[in-house]
Amino acid sequence: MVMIEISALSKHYAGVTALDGLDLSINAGGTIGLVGPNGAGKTTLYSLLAGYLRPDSGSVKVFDLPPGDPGLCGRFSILPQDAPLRKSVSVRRQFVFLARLQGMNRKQAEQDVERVLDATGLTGVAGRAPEQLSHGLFKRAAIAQALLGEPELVLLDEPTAGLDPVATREIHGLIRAQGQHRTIIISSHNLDEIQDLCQSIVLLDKGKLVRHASLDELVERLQYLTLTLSAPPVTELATWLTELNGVVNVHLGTSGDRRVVIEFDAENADAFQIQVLELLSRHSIGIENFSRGKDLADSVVDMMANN
Amino acid sequence: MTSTGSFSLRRVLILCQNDLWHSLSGRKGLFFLIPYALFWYLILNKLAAGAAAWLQQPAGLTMAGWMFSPEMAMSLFRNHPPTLSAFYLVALFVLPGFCMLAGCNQLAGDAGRGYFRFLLSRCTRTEIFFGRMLTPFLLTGLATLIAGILSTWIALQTDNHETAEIIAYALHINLILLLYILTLLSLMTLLSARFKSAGATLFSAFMLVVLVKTGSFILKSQWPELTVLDYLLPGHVAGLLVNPEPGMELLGLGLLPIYVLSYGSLAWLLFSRRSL
Repeated sequence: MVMIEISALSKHYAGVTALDGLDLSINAGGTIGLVGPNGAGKTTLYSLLAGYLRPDSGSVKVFDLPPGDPGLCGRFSILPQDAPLRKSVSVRRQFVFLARLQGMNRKQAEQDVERVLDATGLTGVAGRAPEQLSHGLFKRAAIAQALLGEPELVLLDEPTAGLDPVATREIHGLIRAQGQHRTIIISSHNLDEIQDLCQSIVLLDKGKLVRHASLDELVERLQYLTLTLSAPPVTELATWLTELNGVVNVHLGTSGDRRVVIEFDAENADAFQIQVLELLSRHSIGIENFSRGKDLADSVVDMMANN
Repeated sequence: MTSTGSFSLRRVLILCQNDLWHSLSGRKGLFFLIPYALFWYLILNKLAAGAAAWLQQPAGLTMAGWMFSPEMAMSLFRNHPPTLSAFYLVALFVLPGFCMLAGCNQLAGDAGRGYFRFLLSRCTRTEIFFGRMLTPFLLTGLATLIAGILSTWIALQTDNHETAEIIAYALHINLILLLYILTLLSLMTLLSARFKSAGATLFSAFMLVVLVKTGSFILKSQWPELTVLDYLLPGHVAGLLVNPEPGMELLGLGLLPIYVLSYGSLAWLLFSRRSL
């Protein structure tokens, strides 16, 4: 089922093009990453989907309805970037109000708020006003409000920006759990996060769609091996690897980079991997990480360079 | 493409209920309510002490006639219960200022801060617009009605008019005041839809009054027919509403919904296109 349908969408701000004739179609299900450099148009796209902004031209449809249509109320939710909850009003009270707007009566709203507070670990601080929360707790509260009710689509704009690693991990767990029940679109600069959480990626640059594909396609799992060595590689390593059967190309990073990416064309990928491991063992080269496919970051950089 | 939803009065009322609670429990509401309550306390105290009854006397009528016109003074303080007329007059002339305070933060602050972003996935712009317009109307309307009820009670104690006449006149002026409040607030809705903070909205309202009054004063000396400029401000209709000449009150009453529709439509046009 098509959840989001975007056609020839353009938005300009004072001479700056944020979105430039964007065409995009997103199906329901799974977690989707929205990536791109600063100014790619990610936040503008969210703002148009949520109806914060009006497009200059083109069309947007969410569940086959234009943003702002009453039929969308409660069917999607959003973590807006940098928007504040109301000051001086407890998080719990604000959540009950938001849940009631989604169609629940007071009792249902109170129950749903407790469910969400519990799931996000905010129960203990829900009596506080937003300005009394730390940055991490506030961010969690902002994400929590997006989980009230049963939204079919959740848009999260930079959900872990500015969070410490522990809070980030907790938010990731929450997103992973929610992603099993609804479609989530995450905008983030953190490609490790996207690779960890998402099944497909939408890559934007300069307001245009560069690629919309599954994560498997993007990291080209069948043609690449990525190794992180325990020390920067010796210069001969590229030569040794190239001598192996099936190796198409070897990419060593710049000085000090411990990563090696091997492009190969072998019928038996497992046997090829063993050959690589044996070679490293023969030359006493330690490895910290060994994975099938390219890093998403490498893929993204390549696609941007080729765009 | 079919919509499964529609404009929801329930959501408008939830928005309004939440805003009212926020207004009554926070600085935003107290900023309006404390001066308003204090003001009416002082006025009603004077009325209870018989200040309006004095206006019925020849000396009072002469002074009121000098301030307004002898016909208006006679109509207000002799033909109608003077306490209620005094309340009505005072309300008509102070409500523009109090409505500025009550209506300056309808849309501006939350639009500027981005708070509406939390609401827009749950309700429509139209519902936010009507909810936010309704809140200051209820706040100012209820506060004025309370003052009106107290004035009626004082009038029943002090004025030499029939009870039925006092009650009927009280109903008449309070209904007009409610419509007048809605009119004044619609101008504030328009300004609030344009600006990003309550302060900026309040300042722009103040500047609008100064500009219209000054401009009209200067232009009228050259072109007397430009007196119509004063009617850009809905508060100017107050003069028509207390005018005893036949048809003048009706004309004023007819203008009030026109203001609400004109300013309200312009406000909606701005808000519906505004980036939130």
